[in-house]
Amino acid sequence: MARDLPFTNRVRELRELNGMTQAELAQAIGMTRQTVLAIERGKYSPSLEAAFRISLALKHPLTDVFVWLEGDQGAA
Amino acid sequence: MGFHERTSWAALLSLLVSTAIYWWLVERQSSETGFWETMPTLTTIILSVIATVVFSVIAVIIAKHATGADEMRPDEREQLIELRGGYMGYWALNILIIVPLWLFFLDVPKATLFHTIILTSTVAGMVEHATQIVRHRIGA
Repeated sequence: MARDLPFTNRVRELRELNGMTQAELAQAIGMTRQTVLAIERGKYSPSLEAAFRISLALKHPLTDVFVWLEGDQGAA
Repeated sequence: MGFHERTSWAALLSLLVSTAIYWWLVERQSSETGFWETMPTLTTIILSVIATVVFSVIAVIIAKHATGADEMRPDEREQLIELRGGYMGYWALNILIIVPLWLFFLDVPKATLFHTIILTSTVAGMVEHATQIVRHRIGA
C-alpha cells in the first residue's frame, strides 16, 4: 500500500487561496485532476519537474508548497 | 475516476467476460469427455479472441466518452501505475507458468495443458489490471 511520505504539502491550501479548482490546477501543470488529488492527500510524491510546475502555478516558492517533515529519518 | 483507471477496469472486465465465453464454449463442446479433457476447436479460440477485442473496444469507447480530452494523455503518475501493473503481471506470469510446466512433466492430456496455459495467461492479465486499479485507488 502507499507509503508515508517524508514531507507534507500545502497544495490544497494554496490552491484554494488562489481560487483555483483541482481541474484548473491540473490543467495548469499538465496533469490529471486525479493526480492533483493524490498529491493533495499526500498519496503521491510528484517528480521535481511537477513540483516546480505546481509551485509556479500557485505562485509560491517550492519550499512554501512542499514542507520536509522535521525529525524524519534521512537528512533533509 | 480518470480515463486510465476506467481503461484498466475496461480491460479487466473484458478479460473476465471473454474468459467466461471461452469456458462456456468449451463446456458446450465437452459432452462426452470432461471439460479439462476437451480440446477447444479453432472456432472457439477465434470467437474468444473476437469477444476479447470487441468488449475491450466497446469498454474503451464508453470510458473515452465519459472523459474530457485533457485526461487522455497519461501523466507521470499514471505512467508509473501502468508500469507497476505490468511489473506485477510479469511476475504473476512467471510464477504461474510453473503450473503448466509441472503438468507437462506429469504427462496430463494435451487439452488440460492447453486450458492451464490459457488460465495462467488470463490470471496474469487480471493481476496486471487489478494492480493498476488498486494503485489508482490508493494514489499511486
